[in-house]
Amino acid sequence: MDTTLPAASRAGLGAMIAIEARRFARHPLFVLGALAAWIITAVVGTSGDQVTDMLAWPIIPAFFIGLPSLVVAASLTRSTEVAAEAMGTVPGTEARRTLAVGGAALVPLAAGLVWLVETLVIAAVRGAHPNELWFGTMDDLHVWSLLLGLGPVACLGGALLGVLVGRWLRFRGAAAVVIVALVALDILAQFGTMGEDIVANHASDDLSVRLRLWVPWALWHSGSVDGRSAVAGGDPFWYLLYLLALCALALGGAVWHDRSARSARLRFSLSGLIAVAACLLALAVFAGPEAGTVSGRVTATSQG
Amino acid sequence: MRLWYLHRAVPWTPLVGCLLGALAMSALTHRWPAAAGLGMPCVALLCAAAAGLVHDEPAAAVAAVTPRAGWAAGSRSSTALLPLVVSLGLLVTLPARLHPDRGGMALVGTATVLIALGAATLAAAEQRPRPGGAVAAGVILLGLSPLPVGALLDVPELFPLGTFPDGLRTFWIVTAAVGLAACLVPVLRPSRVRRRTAPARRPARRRPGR
Repeated sequence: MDTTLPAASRAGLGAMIAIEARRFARHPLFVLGALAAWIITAVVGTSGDQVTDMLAWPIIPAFFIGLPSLVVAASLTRSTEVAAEAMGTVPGTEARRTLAVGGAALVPLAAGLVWLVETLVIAAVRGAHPNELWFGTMDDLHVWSLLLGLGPVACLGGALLGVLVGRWLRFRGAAAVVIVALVALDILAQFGTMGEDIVANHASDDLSVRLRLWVPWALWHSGSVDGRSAVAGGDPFWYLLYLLALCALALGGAVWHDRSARSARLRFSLSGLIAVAACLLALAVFAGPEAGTVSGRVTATSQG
Repeated sequence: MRLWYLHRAVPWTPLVGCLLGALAMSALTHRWPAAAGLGMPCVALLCAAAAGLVHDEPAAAVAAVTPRAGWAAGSRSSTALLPLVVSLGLLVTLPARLHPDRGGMALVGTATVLIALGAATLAAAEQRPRPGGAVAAGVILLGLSPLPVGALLDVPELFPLGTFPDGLRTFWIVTAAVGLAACLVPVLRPSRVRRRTAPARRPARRRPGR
């Protein structure tokens, strides 16, 4: 009986993606993370007199779906090599197996999209305050870009980073160390650029605030400070495209691990992607609105 | 013999790597005390992740039926003293200007290491090969989860820099006790482990004519 999948056909890759997607969706860590994200969002959305700081909510799926997806994807990626080490019989090449797990990253993306629908439903049911930084008080494209980029795309990016980690870092606990490094880098690189200062300075057009955008998950929303909040300068739409370019780079970098796949075409694609990512980052930093947006007072206590 | 075994069996490279990461986060906290809100949990959790790695055994099912299985697990658990000492050392010596509650910090360091070690011990007793990666990731994700939730909801801090409230102290004491109990399960109930490792009995074959 033939136990391998066809190596060259597109159908074979589709079948492999479907298998890996099922394994991804059934992984307990992913399931628990997704449930936590949806439940916490529901609690946040139903607590208090009114919903506030909705553009800060994407931190929930990014943490509870994106980071567990990193661990799951790294684990799945490494597991595809077990058969190769033991028997030398595996479906397809290493690059195809990498692409299969990368395709399974659509599962956390879907979970992130479910979170987005939940958020929009909460906003529609409970209604946003007239001064809330949301649709109507901001450019709709920017709001969509922030919600998609910091939520579902962060979930996708976490999984693809996990594929990269699974291919390149073989030591035990690598995913855990990468999580700490990622969180520390992300927070410390933006240290002092956001928070109370940005509201007090009326979302200043300081270049250092916009230069924080190189990180894979940038803070945009300041959170409420004395009933007011701010969205920092920079262009969320270009930032969303920059994040998508980083996702593609992570997958390309993972495929690059397979020496037999290092063709001139892949090298050219990766070089092009790096250039595109750099251009998109430059556009996010310099092409968007220099100063951010500061809301009016939102909380009921402050209105009085 | 035990030292030779530990030298060969424990994954020292990732374990020391986690401890070096904790050291780096501690240095960062000393350099920028304003970052202590992130640095302090990372120190505790990285040391706990290191403790979670000590029971990694690639051939768990094979090792479980060898005569060394009993003392091997105990020897591996004793290795967790290293991350425990490092965790306590780094947490208790936080900069004085942060006004840390040193007793509370010692409790956090002990509890996080014990709970990670307990989870790894239980997984190893169930003959799961290399549970360390999952334990490390689980401990770190659980430990960091109050950070994003705290940004949106009024939830109590797990790693406060100032005085530890009584409720939080109780929480960490219970966590440490649960971790310790999990570490002791294979010692107190070895029969459970033995049952899993014993080969399935084959039905006795009847001889013809009887």
